Amino acid sequence: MTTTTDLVPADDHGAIVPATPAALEPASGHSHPAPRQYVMVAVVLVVITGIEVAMSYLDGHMNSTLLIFMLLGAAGVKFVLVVAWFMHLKTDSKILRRFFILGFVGALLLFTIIMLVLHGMQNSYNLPSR
Amino acid sequence: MTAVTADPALAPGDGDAGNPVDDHGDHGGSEHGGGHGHTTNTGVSNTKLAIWAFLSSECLFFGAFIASYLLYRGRDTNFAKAGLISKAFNPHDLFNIPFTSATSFILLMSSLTMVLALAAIQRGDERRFRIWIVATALFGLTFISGQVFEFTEFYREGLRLSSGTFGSTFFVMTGLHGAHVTVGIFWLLSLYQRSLQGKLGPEKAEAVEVAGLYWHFVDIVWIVIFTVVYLVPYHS
Repeated sequence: MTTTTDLVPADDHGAIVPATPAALEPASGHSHPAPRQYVMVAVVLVVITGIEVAMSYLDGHMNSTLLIFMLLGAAGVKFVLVVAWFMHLKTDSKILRRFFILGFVGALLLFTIIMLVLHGMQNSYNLPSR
Repeated sequence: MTAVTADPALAPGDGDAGNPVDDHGDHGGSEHGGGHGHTTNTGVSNTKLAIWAFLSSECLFFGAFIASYLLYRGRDTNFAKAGLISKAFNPHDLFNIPFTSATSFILLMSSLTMVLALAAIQRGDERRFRIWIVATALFGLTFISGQVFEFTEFYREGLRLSSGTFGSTFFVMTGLHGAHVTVGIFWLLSLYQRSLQGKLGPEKAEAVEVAGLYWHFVDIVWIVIFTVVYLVPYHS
């Protein structure tokens, strides 16, 4: 992977290029998982989906809040598995990971803000509640 | 200072001594084998960086729709009581969980065939690449057909885009996701066509990887929608 220590100024204009052959190796020159590993991840994803669907039928038989947390947890695990293995964020350049995390955290912030706005609006304008 | 480079392609060719910025504005414009495009200062190809930036913005895009859905979830009952809408639909009376689980399974499997297509093109096995890429497109098409069927069923039940907050948020969110899947199918088929024309080899594997990133993103969005919309208990 190219790091800042592998880069040197190329000219008086301060432009920067990789300095060593090793630095020329693109950051994405990682080794992707083998097809067998992809299949294993897919099997795990299918099993989790099956468990999720089965859990959804437990509504009324167990605490709803606990059920919601378990379902969201299962979805979270599936999300991470796809992003890490199929999208190669596990092995890819850190800069790509940061890009994605930025967007994901932004989405969570947006979600929180919308929920807070709703809560405020409901109190202020007396909208119909659930 | 002179840059020490091992790749002749990094040497300036326009007379601007040592300036690694090429005509396209890329730094250190050397084409690497393995289909990873240009070597840049970030160490990541511009195409790959661009698709990740796009996917990052898509997180916010879909995040807004999912948040809106949750925001209005269960409120139609009160709106109906207040006479603002004619009827409140209970989503769990409409949803066919086994059917949607099957289409979700198909979309998950399409992610597997997509990575297998990428692995095949990276090995230079174009025949298997074509098989897996067509399988991915077919899985996507099956998912979209399932969504069309589901929408038709809901329409028959009386659910419309304008029939309440549930109808509008549900149709807009899942419809936009379906639109993304459709774009992905066309993208995959274009890769298949390029392969048939001999324009897609291991050196162009990054084109497949970028399409794959988009496809997997569409899959993870569905992972969230499937759980939040279909599986999480609904109490009006």
